Amino acid sequence: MYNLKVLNLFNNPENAGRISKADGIADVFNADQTAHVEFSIKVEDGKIAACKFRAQANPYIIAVCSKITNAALNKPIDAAYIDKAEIVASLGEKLDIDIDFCIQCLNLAIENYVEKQAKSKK
Amino acid sequence: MDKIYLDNSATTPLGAEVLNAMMPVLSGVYGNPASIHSFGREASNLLDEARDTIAKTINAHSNEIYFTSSGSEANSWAIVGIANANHNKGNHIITSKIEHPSVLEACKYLERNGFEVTYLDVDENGFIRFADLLRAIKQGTIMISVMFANNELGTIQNIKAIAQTAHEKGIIFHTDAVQIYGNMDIDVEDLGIDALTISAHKIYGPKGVGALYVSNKIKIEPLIFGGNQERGKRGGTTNLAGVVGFAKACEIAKRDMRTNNHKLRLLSEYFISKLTGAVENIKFNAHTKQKLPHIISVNFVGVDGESLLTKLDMNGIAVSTGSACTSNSLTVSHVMTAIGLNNDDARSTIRFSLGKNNSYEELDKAITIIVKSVEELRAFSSTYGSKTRKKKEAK
Repeated sequence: MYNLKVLNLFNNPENAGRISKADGIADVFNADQTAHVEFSIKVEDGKIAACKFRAQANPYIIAVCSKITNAALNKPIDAAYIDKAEIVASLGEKLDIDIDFCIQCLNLAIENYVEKQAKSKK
Repeated sequence: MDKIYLDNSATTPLGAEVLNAMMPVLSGVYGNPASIHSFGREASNLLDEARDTIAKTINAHSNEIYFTSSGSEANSWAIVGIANANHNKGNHIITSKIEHPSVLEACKYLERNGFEVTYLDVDENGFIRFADLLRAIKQGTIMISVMFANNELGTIQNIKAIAQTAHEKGIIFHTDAVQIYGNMDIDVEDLGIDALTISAHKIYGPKGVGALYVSNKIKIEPLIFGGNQERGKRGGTTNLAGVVGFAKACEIAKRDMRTNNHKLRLLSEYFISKLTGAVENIKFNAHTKQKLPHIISVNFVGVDGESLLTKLDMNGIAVSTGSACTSNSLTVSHVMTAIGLNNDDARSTIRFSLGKNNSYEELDKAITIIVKSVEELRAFSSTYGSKTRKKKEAK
């Protein structure tokens, strides 16, 4: 059903779990409520120093989340753009499965960090 | 890696006795049963014998058995063929929301062609409610189609009572018996069934062969035109080896039914008991005694069903999420939705379906792997054990 890259990453996901005392965290369902993901980030010097995910989702989404966490590392917090095409290409398989919500979840975790920062400054 | 097959409701392996019955036909009987020469007559005799054998297992006449290419074909044909042949009496059909897609899609086709269809709700165990059935019946109802046993839950409907209700109102009754045939004695006369679907590959027979029983008392339009096969109702040269294998599988299923049912009940009880003790936070669907024991539908809280299926598959264990027909899709099973499961529980559901070839040792091995796989997935599940879960949806 899935290619070996996807299956290997699914079976040995990188950065799976939640960062304790995360600087930013968010969780999101996909549109039809059949998958749920959570991203947590640690920020140091304005860059994403650590990024982890948790998921109740199918193997492809788990592999995608794993790739996103790696792609996010060391990106500046104000320009942490994740290239969906790059993620898909790195998995070597484009499936008719919505993965936008995974990227949105990371963006929401970043927003959560920014909001917390703004509140702490007040 | 030893493989363990726990998906016997999707299909079963071909039985050795069945293969032995088919081999001489595959290798030596190549006549067309429709031909009148000796080659054809030899094939035709085998076809007649097979039809007789199958008819006897359900107390039908042999000229009431029509061979098809599958259970799906038989279901679709029953729905469309009976509806069209009886359109002069009305245009309303009643079925349930947990039918096989071959029934549901045939009903949708009829709706697009002027028929009206009522889809009955079911309770949390998958049973239709008689009050709903009675309410749904109206002037112009020509057919009720309710599956005998559900393929995802195993729930066995009270078919005799449904058929009786149908007949009291002069309505034709069809049932999809694909999952239950071979597991329970079926007497179409006693139960009052007008049309019934069965399939070979669910009872250790070959794939590509099904049958539709249609009582001589009711009318059905042909499915495939242009041939005199199946008494002009279903054209196409008969899959003779498949049909012979089907008949052998039926004979064996009938012969060994009591032994197999006893074994399956014990295996299922063992599996449920062991699984319950080994994995916390699981829920069983259709927790009723009126079900096929070997179909076991389980929710693993916080675990995605497809991910668990994949992990088990990588360890040599074959199971199913919901039903085999929807496994490629992210959509939640219509059966799980119909019994009222929320999305979380529905997408966490795995169907284990045991078979006569399974052993206690296999179940022990499977449970060890299930425990490990569930632990691995729950370790990073975003929904398991989370106290502050927010239901946000992607914009």
